[in-house]
Amino acid sequence: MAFRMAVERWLDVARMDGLARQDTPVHRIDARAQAVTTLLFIGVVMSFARDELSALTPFFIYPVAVMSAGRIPAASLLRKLAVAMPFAVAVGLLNPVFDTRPALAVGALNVSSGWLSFLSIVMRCLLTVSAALLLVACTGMPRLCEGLVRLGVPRVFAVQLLFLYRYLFLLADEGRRMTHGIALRSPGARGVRFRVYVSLVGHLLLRAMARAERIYHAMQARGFDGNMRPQFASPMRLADPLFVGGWALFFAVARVWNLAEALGVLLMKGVG
Amino acid sequence: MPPVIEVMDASYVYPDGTQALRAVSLCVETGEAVALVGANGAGKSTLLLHMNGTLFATQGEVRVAGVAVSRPTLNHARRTVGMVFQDPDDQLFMPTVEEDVAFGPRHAGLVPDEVERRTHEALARVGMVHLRARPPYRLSAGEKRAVAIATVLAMAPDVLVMDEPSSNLDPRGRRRLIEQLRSFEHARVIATHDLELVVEVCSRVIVLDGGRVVAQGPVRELLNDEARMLAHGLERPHILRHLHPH
Repeated sequence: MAFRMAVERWLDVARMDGLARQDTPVHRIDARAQAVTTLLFIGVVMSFARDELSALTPFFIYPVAVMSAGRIPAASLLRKLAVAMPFAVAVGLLNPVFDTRPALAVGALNVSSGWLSFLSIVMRCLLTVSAALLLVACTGMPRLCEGLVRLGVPRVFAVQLLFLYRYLFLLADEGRRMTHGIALRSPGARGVRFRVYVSLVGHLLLRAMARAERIYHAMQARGFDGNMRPQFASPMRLADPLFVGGWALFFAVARVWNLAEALGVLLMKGVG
Repeated sequence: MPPVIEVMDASYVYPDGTQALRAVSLCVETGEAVALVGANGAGKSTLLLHMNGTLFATQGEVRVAGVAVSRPTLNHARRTVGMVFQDPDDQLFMPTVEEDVAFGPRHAGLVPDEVERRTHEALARVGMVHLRARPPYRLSAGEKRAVAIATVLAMAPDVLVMDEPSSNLDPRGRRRLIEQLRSFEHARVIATHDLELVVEVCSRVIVLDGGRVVAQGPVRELLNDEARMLAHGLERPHILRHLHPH
């Protein structure tokens, strides 16, 4: 059932949080430094021309490096990327149809610029989404939100983000129980009928709201007043600016020079 | 010393018009364990929510340690009364057990060392120190309940208010809970259908029906009154049958 699959995938994102409790060189980097680096990375990747391909490839070094240094299992990252990819594919799908100007010749094969921009969109999606996922996996939502506040993001947004994240799983949980209930009472049926689906979504909303209110009461009962108290407040270490600076330098170099092409030229020279 | 909780002629009407409490009056003294029993919809949970100012009586008054609960005195009520909600999943919202237990003390503005000490102490009290780094949603029902109680103990309240603490627990988890409840020196208000637990833990029982207090008195005396128990959708607990000659 499609709905159930989506729910399962969301729950899988929860496991990202578990990864955030590791102790690795990347996890020890201040959340602010990681957030800034990720934003820089996304900004630079998105700034390339729409049909750029080869110059983007060196940027894979960043997610791969963070992933291995942060001991984030590739399989879990790829599964989450697979959730986002259909959106990128849908966005770029019509490019090859409408834009058939030949842009590149690989042997006898002419590659149109439409295909190039399609691939570029997919590649950028892979890069940016994996960077964002890695940010969560290496900081964890509470630490990340606190870092954002200390960077000057209004507290109310950070708290919203944190609750959105928390309620998402509750919603997913309720959804899973309800679809289970439907499946048990409709043996042999394929999928959920539209009318049932409408009622299901309505109930889901009401249940989620009731639960959100109960959680809010529980938080109030323990002294919550709309502010999250800092709990990860640690001073910046030398490694933090070095992390940001080092990566910023790499992004700048890779933005200005096409490193993949340069490497190709270098290799050809070596051969020649 | 004033009673830790005093409810005086409290009535409550939900926004949808349902009258949940009708002129309820009761009193809880320091250190005593009081059971709140009654059929589903009798108003037990609503009454509990008045004790820490989650709800405010439409009429009448609730006093916590002598101070009337109102918006300006909310902090006092919430520091004095620790509430354990029915569904531990509603109460545990931080990524790890430890952070969850530390949430209350941290919001009370305690220094990190004191937060740490209270967290450890509360977890030790319920025997859950070994789970401190685990995410709460991965725990068993019994563990979740124990951690939920720890989150409240860490705030050092004078009163523990609990809604159905033994629901969803296996026999061993329930037994452990009963032992813990007996060991607490806090005043305890326990809303429950588990009448056997009431006999083991509480000294006094208050029966609610249709939002009214219909009876209150010593546990053994009241729960042994079979006709009265049946009249309010309850029953005479089995454990009492065996303690008395047939």
